[in-house]
Amino acid sequence: MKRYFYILLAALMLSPFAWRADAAKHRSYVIGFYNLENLFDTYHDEGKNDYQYLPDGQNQWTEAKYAKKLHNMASVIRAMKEDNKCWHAVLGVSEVENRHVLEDLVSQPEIEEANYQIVHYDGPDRRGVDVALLYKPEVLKVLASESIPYTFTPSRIDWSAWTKEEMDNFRTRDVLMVRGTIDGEMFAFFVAHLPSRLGGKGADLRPRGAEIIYMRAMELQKEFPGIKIVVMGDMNDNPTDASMTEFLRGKEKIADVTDEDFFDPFLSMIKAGYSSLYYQGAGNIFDIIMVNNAVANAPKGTFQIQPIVQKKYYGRVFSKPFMTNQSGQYKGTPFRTFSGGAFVGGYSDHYPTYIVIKK
Amino acid sequence: MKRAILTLAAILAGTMLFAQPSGGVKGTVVNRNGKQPVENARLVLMQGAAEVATVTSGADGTFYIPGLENGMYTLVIDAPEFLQTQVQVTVNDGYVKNMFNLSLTGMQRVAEIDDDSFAQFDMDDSGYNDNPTILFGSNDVFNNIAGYNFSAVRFRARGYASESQDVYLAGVKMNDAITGYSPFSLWSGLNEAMRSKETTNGTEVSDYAFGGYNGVTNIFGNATNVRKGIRGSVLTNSTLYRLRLMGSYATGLMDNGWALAFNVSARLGGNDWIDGVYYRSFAYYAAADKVFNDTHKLGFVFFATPGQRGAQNASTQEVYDLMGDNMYNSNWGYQNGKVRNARVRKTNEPIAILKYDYTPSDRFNASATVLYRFGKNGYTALDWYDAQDPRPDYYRNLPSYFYDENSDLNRNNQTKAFWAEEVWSHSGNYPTITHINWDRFYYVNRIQTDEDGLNRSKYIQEERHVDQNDLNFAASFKYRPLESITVTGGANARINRTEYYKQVADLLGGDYFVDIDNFAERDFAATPYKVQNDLDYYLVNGSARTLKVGDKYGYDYLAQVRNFGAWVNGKFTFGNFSSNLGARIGYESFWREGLVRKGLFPGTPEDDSMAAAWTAAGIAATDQTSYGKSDVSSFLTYAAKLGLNYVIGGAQRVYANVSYFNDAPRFSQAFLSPRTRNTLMDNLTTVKTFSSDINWQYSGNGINVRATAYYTTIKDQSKVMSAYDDLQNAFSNFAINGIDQRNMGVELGFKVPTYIVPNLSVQGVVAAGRYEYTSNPTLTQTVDNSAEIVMLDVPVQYWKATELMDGTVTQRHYVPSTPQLAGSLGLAYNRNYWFIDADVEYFGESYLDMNPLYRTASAVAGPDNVTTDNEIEYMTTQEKFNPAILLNLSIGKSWYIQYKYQLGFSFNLKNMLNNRSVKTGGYEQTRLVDNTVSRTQYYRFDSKYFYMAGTNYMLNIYFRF
Amino acid sequence: MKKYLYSIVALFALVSCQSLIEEWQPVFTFGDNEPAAMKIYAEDDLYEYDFGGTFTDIQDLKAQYDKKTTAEKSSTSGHVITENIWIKGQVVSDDRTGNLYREIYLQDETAGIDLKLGKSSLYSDFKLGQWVYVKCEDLCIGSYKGMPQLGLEPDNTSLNEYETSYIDSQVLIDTHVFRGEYDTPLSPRMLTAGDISAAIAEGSSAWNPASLWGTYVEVKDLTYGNQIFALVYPHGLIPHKKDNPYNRVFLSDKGTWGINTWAMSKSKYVEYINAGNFDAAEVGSGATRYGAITTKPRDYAEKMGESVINMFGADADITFKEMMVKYATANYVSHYFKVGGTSTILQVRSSGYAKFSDKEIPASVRGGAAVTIKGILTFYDGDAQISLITSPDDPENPSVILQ
Repeated sequence: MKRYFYILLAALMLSPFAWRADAAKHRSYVIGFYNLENLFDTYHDEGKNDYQYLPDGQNQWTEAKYAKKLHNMASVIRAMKEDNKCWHAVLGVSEVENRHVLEDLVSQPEIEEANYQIVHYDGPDRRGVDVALLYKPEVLKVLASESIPYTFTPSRIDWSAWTKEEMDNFRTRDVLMVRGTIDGEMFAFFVAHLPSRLGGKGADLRPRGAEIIYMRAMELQKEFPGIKIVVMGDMNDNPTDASMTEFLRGKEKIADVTDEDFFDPFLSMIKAGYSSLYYQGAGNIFDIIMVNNAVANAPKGTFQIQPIVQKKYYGRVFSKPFMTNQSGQYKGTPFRTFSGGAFVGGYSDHYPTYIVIKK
Repeated sequence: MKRAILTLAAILAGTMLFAQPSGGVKGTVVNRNGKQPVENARLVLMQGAAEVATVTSGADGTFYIPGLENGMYTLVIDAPEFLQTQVQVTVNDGYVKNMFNLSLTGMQRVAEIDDDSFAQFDMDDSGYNDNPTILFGSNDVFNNIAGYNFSAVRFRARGYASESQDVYLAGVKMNDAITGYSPFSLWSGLNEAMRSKETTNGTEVSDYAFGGYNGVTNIFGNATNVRKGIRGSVLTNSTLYRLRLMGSYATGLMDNGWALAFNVSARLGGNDWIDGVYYRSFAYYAAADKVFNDTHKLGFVFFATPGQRGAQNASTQEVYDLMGDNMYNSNWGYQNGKVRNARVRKTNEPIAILKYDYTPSDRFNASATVLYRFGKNGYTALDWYDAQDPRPDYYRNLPSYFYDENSDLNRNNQTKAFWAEEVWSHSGNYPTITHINWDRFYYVNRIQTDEDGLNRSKYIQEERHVDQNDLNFAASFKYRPLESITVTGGANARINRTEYYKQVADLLGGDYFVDIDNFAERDFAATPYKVQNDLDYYLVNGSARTLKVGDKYGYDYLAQVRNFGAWVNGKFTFGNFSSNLGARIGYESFWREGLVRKGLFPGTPEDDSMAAAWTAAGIAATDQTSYGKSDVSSFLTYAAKLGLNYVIGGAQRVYANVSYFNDAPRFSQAFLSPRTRNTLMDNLTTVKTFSSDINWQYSGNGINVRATAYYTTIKDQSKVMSAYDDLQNAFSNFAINGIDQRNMGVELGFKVPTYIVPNLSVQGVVAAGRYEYTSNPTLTQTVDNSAEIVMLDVPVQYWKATELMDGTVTQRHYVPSTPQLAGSLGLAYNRNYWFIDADVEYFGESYLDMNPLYRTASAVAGPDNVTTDNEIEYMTTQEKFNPAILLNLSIGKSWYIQYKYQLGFSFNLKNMLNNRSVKTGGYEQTRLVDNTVSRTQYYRFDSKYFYMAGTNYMLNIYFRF
Repeated sequence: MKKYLYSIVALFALVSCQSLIEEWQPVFTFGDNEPAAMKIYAEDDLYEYDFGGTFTDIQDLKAQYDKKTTAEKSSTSGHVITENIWIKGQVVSDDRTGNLYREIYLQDETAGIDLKLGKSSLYSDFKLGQWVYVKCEDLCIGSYKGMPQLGLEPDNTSLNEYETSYIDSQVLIDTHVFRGEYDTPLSPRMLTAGDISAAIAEGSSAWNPASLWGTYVEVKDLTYGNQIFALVYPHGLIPHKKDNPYNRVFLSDKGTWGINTWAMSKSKYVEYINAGNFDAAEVGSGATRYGAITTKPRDYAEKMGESVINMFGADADITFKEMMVKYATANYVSHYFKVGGTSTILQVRSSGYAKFSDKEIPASVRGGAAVTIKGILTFYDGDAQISLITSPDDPENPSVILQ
């Protein structure tokens, strides 16, 4: 008998009628990530290997191409705003050359009204690409930020295959951490771009990246009890890979999430066949966003992650026909800026992903 | 000198003394809204908690803080009415960091958080219902594996004829207008230029074409689609050609809007398996695209593959067994000690394309193409006049002609049989008998001296030409009014004028040849005008024309084909469910235009003077004529397709198609004897095809599976063939119509990672079908020289099955030349640019092509017109090939050198078990043995077979930069 | 990485150089690479084929016929020559017109011989007047209705009516028949009526060394004998053997049966039948006679016997005349000519497949005008025959000339 009662209650809870009544009081924000695929300006930054992306460089990266790239990136951010009917509150980005390109991006006509503020550190990556965070100042009050360098110790991974010298001159992107408050609740956003799969011995590098984020996140949870942590980035691994499941402890169901774990909404989505990029015809989701327990099982009245696709998926991979190849052998995959070495004036080889938190 | 040193020391000292850190940071503070500089903004450079420096921005908003050590700083910028902005600055390697513009956001633009100032994320429609976009289109797992592994055994998907596969180039249908054959040979050797294509499967509608029931391949072919960079490759293939050199260069879309692409190749030399088969083919391709702006693009392409290729001929099993070599090719012989092939394809058919693309928005794009194909297509062969048959494996040269243990055949000369066997089993000692004896042709031609002292060649090499002039217009559009509706459509027009003629290619040592009909001369020796190939010339000059090399002779007529069509297809998606409904309508007409009046069929005199000349020469008019325009045969064609597609989610989809086609017959299957007269096969009708299939597909995280069941019926096909009929002792034309067939079966393709060993996956394919003939067609026979009707609409009684007298069916008959049961299972390993595939294949249930004559009641009954069961079984049983098991291995590796250069190789080893007895096809001969002792039955001539090569390899080394 | 690269390049080099040697010599395509003429044998080239050095006269070759072994005598075979005998002779025949088929006649000073090569259109390979050397060992000399022939041993079948068979096998031709040098074609031997009647008198001794059979002759003062001989077979499928009298119709003895052409092509034969020329012809041969061709096999059911009626099958109920039309083929015809006003007959036997078969014999000739005829003299069952090797009215070399 009791069983029926609960079902009735749940039905009442979920019925749309119930939602509408208190929609006004509630507030929801979109938090997303977008790999901008090599957003370089046309000037040479000393000390950086940006020679490919210069007017006389291999890609003949002229002002015209740079302007088209900026316009394309801004129009995707705006297209997401059209769909969601509100700007991303927080947008992590990767593969940006420097602060200058971000300044140019945020002042593009399509998105200038969002007044995005920038948190960016110059990273040590050989190709000169960094990660950064764009945020709406009226939503997120930034308190502190740091650029966590990629180190090899302390780690539970066996690095015996690597020599000291190899470790020392290994260069990759730092992990950006920004801490601040939204509506008074303490948040921490991690933006990462873990080492790529190309190159021989990369298998352990991504788990190490995840470990670095996880350790810093656990410190933050001790330092700021109840802090809500969002980890996002181009992980160069699928949600099903070891770096995400074992080192970031990304769980598929909210029910399984404890304070030591993260909730990975894209785990069930990759199994359902969603993809944020394609490699040799196989779909992957590298653009992963995870939230800690404080967001997954948020205390009453605080920000909690919401299902936003087909009433059961907590993440969304955003794609529209204008940013997808409509013909040729790559039909159905992201329409990228460069294909086969030639500038084809597209968007990015990744689709943006995002989640929604609601209070 | 001293002074120099002093000054040097001073400089050094100077820098030493005032050495200050050279680092710094500079930039311009601007207002985010409108980019005007912000004057007197306060900039405080912090390191950790300590203040390092404070400056204010100048009138132009600029600021500069010199003398900074390397390290990370935070620049805090404040200005009245502006939001404070913090900028992280890293100074490295002693450089002055240029921050360019640092924008400040106006205070009033940023309202405090309140409810209505910004819209909520609208939750009430519970978010979105977008589906996983699963790539089902071009990388179909079944086609990928089957296409490669089954190519050696001439596998045809679902048993459909190869002509049913539509091949488009830049949106224009390239299947041959006359025969429908697939046109890949037009651009073979231009692999790089023709690499980028889009294929659909079965009855799926492509964006560029309505298509048939066996998939559509649209090759883009324009300059922008050719991969950028310089590429080259060197390839050797032990069954095709000794060497292929290929090079390509493409600029990709350049900033000036142009894209240029070039591709050249040469394929040279013979192979390890079939003597006489060789390549001397070249190929060149040049294309340019001009992108005016996002909306207008114009492309021009010109390519051709001039060259020649020695052809292979099939022989009987008796010859193969005697020679111990299933690869014997009777097309070649020695001339002056060198191998010379009599059957050589010489083609040079350039194609020019002009394509205009119009993409006004991302919701609508359209393209229009003009394509013109011209050039020459020749196929040489031996021609001889009143002389011995020069073909080495002519049946009268074989032991079976002299002795056969079946006494009914009355062949009992064991001496001649012994000597023939001796020759064929030691062919190395008798090259002039087991191969074409070229030297004898020169000898014979040189002693045919006529009264003027000129030698009239008895043996020549002719070149049969099929020179096409094919003008095509095609337009297609794709319009997406809504996210859920996509409408594609198009129209095409084809004007094809193909000239069929023969010309003298080589007089083989003689001085001239004479343009008369060799066969007609046997029957009408007494009436010389009937023997003329060109009656009008004969009437004017009193004798047949003497021919020099290059002169046209024999026959000369035009095949004129016109077809016009339009199609439209709508694709509708509602959430997980999508369907498409399409229709095509067309009009096709064709006629023959004789350019030369043949003596046998002069037709009727056009005017009085001609009538007078004819009566003077005793020429009788005929109702069937070889000259002028034939009746125009025209057909209304139409087709409809319905596709249903449901994405179950979890990377799976189920889809089904049903379609109906009413297509026109081919020109090549419509005229009884196009070489001699205009006569069309009567009751020629359209081919009606119904096709349906249901499929399940899974494509997610590394696993690809596709399963299909299909059911297709093709009705009212027609076939025309000409052959010497032993019963009538005359060269006859056979018109067969009402051929129906039913192809049904299942297909399964899968590629699944093994999970145990990373990067290793299991892949396999199964294609099991039954492709049966379901009707007994009717046959009409006419004598080629007189058009006299010998058999009119006689049923081919044993076509669909071997049915005994009492009705029991001992064997159903199947669509030939493709295995109905084909399977492949293998492992595919690929990890950092290593590709290793090993597959084992099984092919079974393939049958030999049937000769309709052997299945007529009269041929079965035999001379005594009495039909017995074993006569039926003997004459009508369709030969079934033995199943074959093959093992293939392919290994590939590519290296990236400094991320710019790529070098790689791929090495394929096929048929590693060296299985030498795999028949890949063949045909039954049309001749019958009728002079027997008992006179109770006819006997069949031996069938001819093609075999697969034994272990063969292909090695390709390629580079790119 | 480098070592893999080197191994692959080496593999490619190994593969290519091995096949390079045997393959790379490019396959001959076109152009002026014409071969030297085919080999013309001189006498000393023959030693390679163990030529003994001396040639046997053709008339002595005929003598070999008497050396039949007992086995050969008991069977219907000719004599397979076991001695190393070589003959040489000039080609005197030409199968261009189709009157001769699969055979050439060689002639030396002493005699002529019919060499049954078996290949068609032999005039392509053997020119008139050309010397031909024949190694007779393993070949078989036999007689066909008295006419000496050189071929291969016969098919060992009971149906056989021939003592020899066509050689046919190219390897045997290549190792026994050798083309010699070209020479001016022999002019025909002038024969008188006496020569012919003497030759006929030799009768069965056609093997007589001095005989004229198989040689190229010219006979003057011939006048049309108003008589023909032709043997036709009504049913195309019943074997044409002597012991099938029900399938033989003789057009002989009574005048010319309306046949005014040298022979009958298939269409001309049907024309004559339909014109009723042969209605009076009788079915049967030797002692057994049936009836006029207008009767049916059924009419002689009991005389023929059940098995023979079955052989006719459905045709048992149609007249022999209809059968002749149904299974019509081209047919030989022999026209009788009186030699020099005497009663000696020389038959002009022509094939229905000859190009000139349907040419009319000029009315003047049929009217009795004297003509000269050139051709190969052959012996057939006691009669002298002549086979024309050019068309009777051939512009350059007519074989029938009005005197």
